[in-house]
Amino acid sequence: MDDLTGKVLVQNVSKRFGETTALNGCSLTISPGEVHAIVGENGSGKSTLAKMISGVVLPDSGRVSIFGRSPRDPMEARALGVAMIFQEVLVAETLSVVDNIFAGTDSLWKRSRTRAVARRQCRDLLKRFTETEIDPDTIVRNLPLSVQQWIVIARALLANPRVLILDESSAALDLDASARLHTEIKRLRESGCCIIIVTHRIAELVRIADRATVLRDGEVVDEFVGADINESRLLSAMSAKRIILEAKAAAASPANRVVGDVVLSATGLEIERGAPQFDFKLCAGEIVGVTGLDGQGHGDFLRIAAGLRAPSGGTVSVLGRDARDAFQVASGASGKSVAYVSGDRAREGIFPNLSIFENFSLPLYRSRFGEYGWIKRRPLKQAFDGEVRRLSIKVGHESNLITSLSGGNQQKVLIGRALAMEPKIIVLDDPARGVDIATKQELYAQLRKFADQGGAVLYLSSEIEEFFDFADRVLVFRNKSLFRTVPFELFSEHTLLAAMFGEPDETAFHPMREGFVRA
Amino acid sequence: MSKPDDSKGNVPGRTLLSQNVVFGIALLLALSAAASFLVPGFVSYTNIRSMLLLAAFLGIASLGQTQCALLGGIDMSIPYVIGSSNILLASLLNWGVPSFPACLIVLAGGVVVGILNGLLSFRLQGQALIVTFGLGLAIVGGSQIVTSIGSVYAGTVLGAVPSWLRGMSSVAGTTFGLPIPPIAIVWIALAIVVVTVMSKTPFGRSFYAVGGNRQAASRVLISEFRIWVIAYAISGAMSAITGMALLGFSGGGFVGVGEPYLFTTVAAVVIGGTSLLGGWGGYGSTIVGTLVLTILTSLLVGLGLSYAMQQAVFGLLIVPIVALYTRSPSLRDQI
Repeated sequence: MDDLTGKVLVQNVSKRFGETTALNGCSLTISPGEVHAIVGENGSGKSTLAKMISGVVLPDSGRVSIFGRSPRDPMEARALGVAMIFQEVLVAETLSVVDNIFAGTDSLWKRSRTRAVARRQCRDLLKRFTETEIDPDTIVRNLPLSVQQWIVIARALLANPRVLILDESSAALDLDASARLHTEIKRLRESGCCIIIVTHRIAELVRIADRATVLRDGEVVDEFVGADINESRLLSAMSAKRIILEAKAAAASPANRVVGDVVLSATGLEIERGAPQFDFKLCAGEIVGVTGLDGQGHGDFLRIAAGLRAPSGGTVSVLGRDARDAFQVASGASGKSVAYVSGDRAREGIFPNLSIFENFSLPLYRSRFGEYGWIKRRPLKQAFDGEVRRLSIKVGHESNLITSLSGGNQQKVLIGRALAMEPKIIVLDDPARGVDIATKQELYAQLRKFADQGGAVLYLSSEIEEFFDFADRVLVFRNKSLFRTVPFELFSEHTLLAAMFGEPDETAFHPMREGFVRA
Repeated sequence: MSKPDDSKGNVPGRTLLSQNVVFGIALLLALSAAASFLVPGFVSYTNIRSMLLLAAFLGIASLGQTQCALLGGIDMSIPYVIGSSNILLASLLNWGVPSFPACLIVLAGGVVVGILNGLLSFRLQGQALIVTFGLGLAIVGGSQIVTSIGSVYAGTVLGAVPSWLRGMSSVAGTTFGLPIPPIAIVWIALAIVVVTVMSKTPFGRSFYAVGGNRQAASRVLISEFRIWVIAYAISGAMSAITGMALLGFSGGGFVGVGEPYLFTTVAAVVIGGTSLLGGWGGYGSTIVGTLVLTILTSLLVGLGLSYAMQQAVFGLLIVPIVALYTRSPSLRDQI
């Protein structure tokens, strides 16, 4: 057995957050001078694993060993030479560039270097990274996101780390900048640093990684070394075991469904300034899935469709209303057209100070039962009891606070509230987040029923298997635009993941569409 | 945010309210008992009537503060609007404006100041404290300038106060033969209307929705802006009414008459159990807070404490009282 004290070892670690298992018995070894990639779908546990190595998250069981020591907090990890660049661009926006880069290097009384030296180092580093001259005294808020990302990277590299963890660190960088980041990574590799990259950009890691570990549902499912790392292998490893599920999905697929009139249509939609434009139509009776990797614009699209924000270009019309007007009518989910259910219950769903009953009935005061005069309790109570039965919500006493319910039941109350508004379109933003399987299945069945009765559903999820039994097609977003629409007959873990990761469309010559394409 | 606590089988929604009411009434009873034991003449007819009168002033002034607190806001302009209304009404009457239009003008002025407070503090999110404070100072300064025209004293307006207004706020005042000062009847009527509207109408519930989760409120088409401005407008109107009623009470216009109400309106709200962060409580609890404060003042005065001593004791007592209230677990997480 070779010397393990010179390596980073992750031994059989597990971690649970409440009901969800983030990691389940993961082990991997990272040697000095190695670039080790960790890949997997959203929620497969990649980020948790990265945070565990940097001491931010402690394992419930198992052990992380960095050169023979187990750090118990980020400070200890840093003392061992671990530097992590987080997924979020963590800068102090109101401070200058130089203060951001050297944050935490001074002790309380003593400076590690004079201001002039710090400024010079800062200027040199950023010049190397960004290939532009950046004044060290600029306030960070005034710099573009890509430069902010470089500041974070510079902060990590400055410490001459022995272990460097990059969690989606190239997300805010363009292609050219990523190449420069790779140069830096290679330079560090030569100096014997252990480098861990967590990324969604598969094409990128194929070029740079020496070893790739594939995670799925918190478990290590495969490991590739050197030349064995290629895109198709990684993709199939990420999705392998799902074939059984796919078969089931095919059996239950919603073939030959009759769709009705167009209820929502978008023309020349531009999510962000400069992003590619696209068109989209939603018909009555349809359930359309929306997905993408983090920050690829699918969330923005959903909010635009629900009328919660305006696009930077193009028009969206809901039920034939003029675009501007449609935003107003749809804004905040009116009873007439669009109901919006957020998966972020705490932030924009529940009223923690109000009862279960009132959380359900508040929007109905306005839509179905008149805005003025007294609250009409009896019809509201009927509607409430109806939804409680339909969604089998476990509510206890209706005048208890909503926060006395479990997350899943809170979500059901919110979905019941949306259904009770009798909308034409329901827009759901990851509603099944933190909800158990049985509840999910019930939710799908209810939404299916809603669609069959002439409603239309837009359903965002980052877990693609949610769509299999359920959606008619899935919109995959990439680079702030619609990248590909996958019809239900082509649903598979592979096709959806390939689209999410921006792989070329193999299905363009699918037999079903071949005649169509060639014609 | 309050944590679910169904493990013990208790019902947070209902215990929250009843706990506050129980605390408040217990405190009221304890204070009353102590006062009637320590202060001779505390339970006398005159003293109870005068306490009711003082409670009515504070109660009306705290109404608007409660509405603002329910949204997570605060109105620091209350004492200044009270003072301004007080001298403005006195001056208007001196200038020969008939009583009814004069009162309407002052009331409208209060509403306008309230709306301004609401608009500005909504625009400058999170700065309600300093915005309303600043606007209040501007108003009180302005009204002193206006009312001191042709006089050497700013802030004090002497003149005849009509007898109906003195009757409104007189300890010996009667309402339709009942031995209750009319302003107390006004207070009770306002209280009934407010408590009913706040619990039984979509409009009233909107305050709780916005105070509980403004993002979620906007998702169900409740206009935070509208509710916010209305709350401050109510506060401005209530301050104007208090200022006018105090003119009847003191018999002469004095700009500093509102000063005690800066602390006491906030204290009545908090002692009642309304969270300053919004969403919890309501005017019903503020009434309890108002009564507690009034009896406490009466007790301290009855004990023969000097004004300075009263203030010191008053200030020191507020801390343990608030601590007692916030022991309720669902509130503790809020405040």
